[in-house]
Parts: sequence; C-alpha cells; structure tokens
Amino acid sequence: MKAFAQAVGFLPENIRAVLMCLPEQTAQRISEVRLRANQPVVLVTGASSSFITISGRFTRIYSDNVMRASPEDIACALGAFCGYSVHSCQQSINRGFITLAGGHRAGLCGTAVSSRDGILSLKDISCLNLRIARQFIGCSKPVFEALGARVLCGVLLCGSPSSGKTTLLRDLVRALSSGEAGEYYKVCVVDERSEIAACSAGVAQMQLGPNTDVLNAYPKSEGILSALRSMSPQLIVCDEVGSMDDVQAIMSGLDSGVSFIAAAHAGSEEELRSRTQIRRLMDTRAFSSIIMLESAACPTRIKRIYTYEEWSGKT
Amino acid sequence: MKTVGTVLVMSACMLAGFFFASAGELRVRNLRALCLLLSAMRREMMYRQSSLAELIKGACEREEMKKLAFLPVCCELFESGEPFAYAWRTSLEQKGRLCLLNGEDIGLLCAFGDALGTTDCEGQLSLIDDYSEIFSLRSVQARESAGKYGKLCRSLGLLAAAGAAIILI
Repeated sequence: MKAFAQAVGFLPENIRAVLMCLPEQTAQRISEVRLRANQPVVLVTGASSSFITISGRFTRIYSDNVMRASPEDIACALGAFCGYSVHSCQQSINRGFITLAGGHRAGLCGTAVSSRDGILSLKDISCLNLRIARQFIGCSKPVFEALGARVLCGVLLCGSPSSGKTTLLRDLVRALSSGEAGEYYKVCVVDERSEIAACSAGVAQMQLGPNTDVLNAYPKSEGILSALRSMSPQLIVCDEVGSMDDVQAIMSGLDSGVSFIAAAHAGSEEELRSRTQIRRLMDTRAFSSIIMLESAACPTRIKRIYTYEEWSGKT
Repeated sequence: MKTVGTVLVMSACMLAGFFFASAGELRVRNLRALCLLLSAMRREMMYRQSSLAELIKGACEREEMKKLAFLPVCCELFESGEPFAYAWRTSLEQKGRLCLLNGEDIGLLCAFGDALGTTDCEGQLSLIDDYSEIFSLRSVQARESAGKYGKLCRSLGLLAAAGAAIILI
C-alpha cells in the first residue's frame, strides 16, 4: 500500500482521492495507472485492465460511471512527475519516461518534435502510464537455487514487458551484495533508466545491499566502461542490453575478468534467437545461463533456464 | 509637556524622512539580491540542470539572498507538495511587500514564476536572461531614485521637524 500511495501521490488531487479509496488488497495488486486525455483512468493488475468509478469502486466493466482524466489532469500530473522542472527532465521526457522518487516510472506519449538528430522534445502529452515500483525481497532465491555459483558466471534475464526482469535483477544485486551468495560481492549497477536503483537526488531508493555502486543515468556502454576503469567490480549489472555498443562494452568487461548480469526484452525463445544483437551478445560468452521469465501475469516466475551449451547447441 | 510634545513631533518627522530614504536603499539591495538569485538560477540550470526544488532550497541557504523573505515561504509551500507556480505566487503575495518590492515587481516575478520550469533548459536560460535584464534595469532605476529621493526625504523630514518646532514653540 505504501508504494501505491507514494506513486498515486504524484497524480492530481481529484484522481488521487478516488484511488486512495480502493481497498488495500486491490491497491496492492495494481501495477500501472494509465491516464489518457478525456479517457477513463485504467488500472492494470497482472495482465488485465480495469477501471475505477467516481465513487472509488474497482470495476472491470466500462461504463459512463468510470472516472476520466481531463487534459488538465494530464498537465498537472506531468508537472508533478518532473518536479515542476521540465528542464531537468528534458532528456528523459524525450526518451518517453520519467523516473520518480521511490523508483516509480511514468511513461509518456505525445507528439514528437523531431530533427535529423532525433527527438528534440515531446509536446501535447496526452497519455501517461504510471508504473508502480515494488521491491520483492527474496524473489531471486529460485535463481540461486537453480544456478548456485553459476550466477557468478553471467546471467541474462529475458522476458516480455512487465514480466519482472528489473525486479528480479534488483533482488539479484541485493542478494549478491549483501552476502546471500556466500560473499559480499562488489557489484556495479549501470542504471541507464534509473529503474534498478531508482536514484532520487543521488540516493538509491531501493535496497541494493551494502557493497553496490550505482552509475545512475549513464548510457549503458559508457557506464560499463566507467565502472571497469574506476570501480573494480566483480559483477556488473545492467538492464535492457541489446545495442552493438553494449556488446562491445560487455566484451571489454569480459577481458577485465568481470561477470555480467543483464536483462533483455524477449517474449519467447524464438524472439530471443531472432534478435541479432542478442545472438552477438551470447557469442561473447558473457552469460553462462539464460533465464526466460513467465508472462506479466506472474512476474519474476522462471519459465525455463538455458545453459550456454544448451543455447549454442540449438543454434 | 509642550516641549516633550514638540520633541516627539520633531522626532516623528525626522524618522519618517529617514525611513522613506532608507526604504529606497533597501529596495535597491533587494533588487540586487533578486538579480543575484536569477544569475545563480542560470548557473545552476546551465551546468547542473538543477530542479526548481534544488534551486529554491539552495537560494534559501545563501547569505546574500536571506533578504528575500519570500524564498523560505516558497520553499516550504513547494516542499509541502504545492505546485511551484502556486508556491511562488503565494509567497510573493505574502512577503513581497516586506521585501519592499512594489506591485509591478511582484507582478513581473509572478509571471516569471508561472513560466519557470515549464520548458527545456534553453528556454529557461532565455527566460532568466530576459528577467535578469528587466530586474537589472529596475535595480539601476531604483538606485537612481533612491539617490535622488533619499536626499529629498531626509531633507523634507528635517525641514518638517524644524517647521513643526517653529509652529509648536
């Protein structure tokens, strides 16, 4: 309930007041609150979407009675998301999301103002997706039970959106850094999107253990190289790897004897195999195991674990 | 009794003269502090892209900006979760006069607060530059007027005191 209350605290008073009427059990299941201009407020639990009535009743049925967000509500929420400081979040806004205090994340949709160099800014923002961050301490236990010491030889977590990749990654960091794997490993988190550590004013909002260094908002490849140069980590952890720059930076890390734990988007094994960058990433032998996660319906649940040999044998 | 009354009237006249003269000087100092605030904001935005919360909090802690009594009120309101524009406007309405800012200054600052934090960094820097120029000009004008009217107020105060003494004695 604390995470939910903290996240909805960024929403306009009228919407917040209705959402806070929800029973605790329902509130705890909500992973996303979606606002669209002149459309109903949508609450996501697992893989299904629901609504909330003006009187604060949770319902799966869309009717005239459901609460709607006005364009003013969107503008008000956007102001609160960026601390009324658009200039501080411009890069983040251009990339389509803002990380909030507490690790929550607001996804943004609007009209892109582009140039040849990419997106200059985002205007007429009309859709917001507030993703509520929750830390599940101990959710990485099945990974340690299945892999044991092989966790230290590199792990790639794969799953569809909302399958719990980041949550699992975060708990792996915490466990490795706090001695749950037998040693207080020196872990460096390259947190490009501020999702793993959820740093606010430079302080990690999530529990990452006593031996973790966070390189917040670094581009992944630069963060990996910086960590290698300056922090002498035993493990580097990063989210959503996949670009060629990432592959090259990971190769540099391997040359330095550092292990990697990373996550990548892939809803299925076929999707994973079809992605060229992931194949290149696997060819670096940075990951001795690949963990496929179940869907958004059961976050952080392991579907299957492949060893590198199994993976390479199939290709 | 008459002498005491005369002395009191004379003191009141002189104090009024000196008060109006020093008010002009204080206004100049406060406008200068305002210019300093704007240039500090510019620096912070340019090099650190600091958020408004950081900017206002930082400004409240700086000795040279302590004269701006509306800043702590704005900081407090903003930290309590109010939108920045509201916090800024309310603090100016409450404490602006105390800082010897006139209605026009307060109006300008309110408009500045409404636009602060609403655009990208370049837009913010340009906004700050525009208002820095306006307030620098106002500060120069206030200094000139303080120099001119300050002497006049003091002289008028002394003259009024002398006049009152002549009439009463």
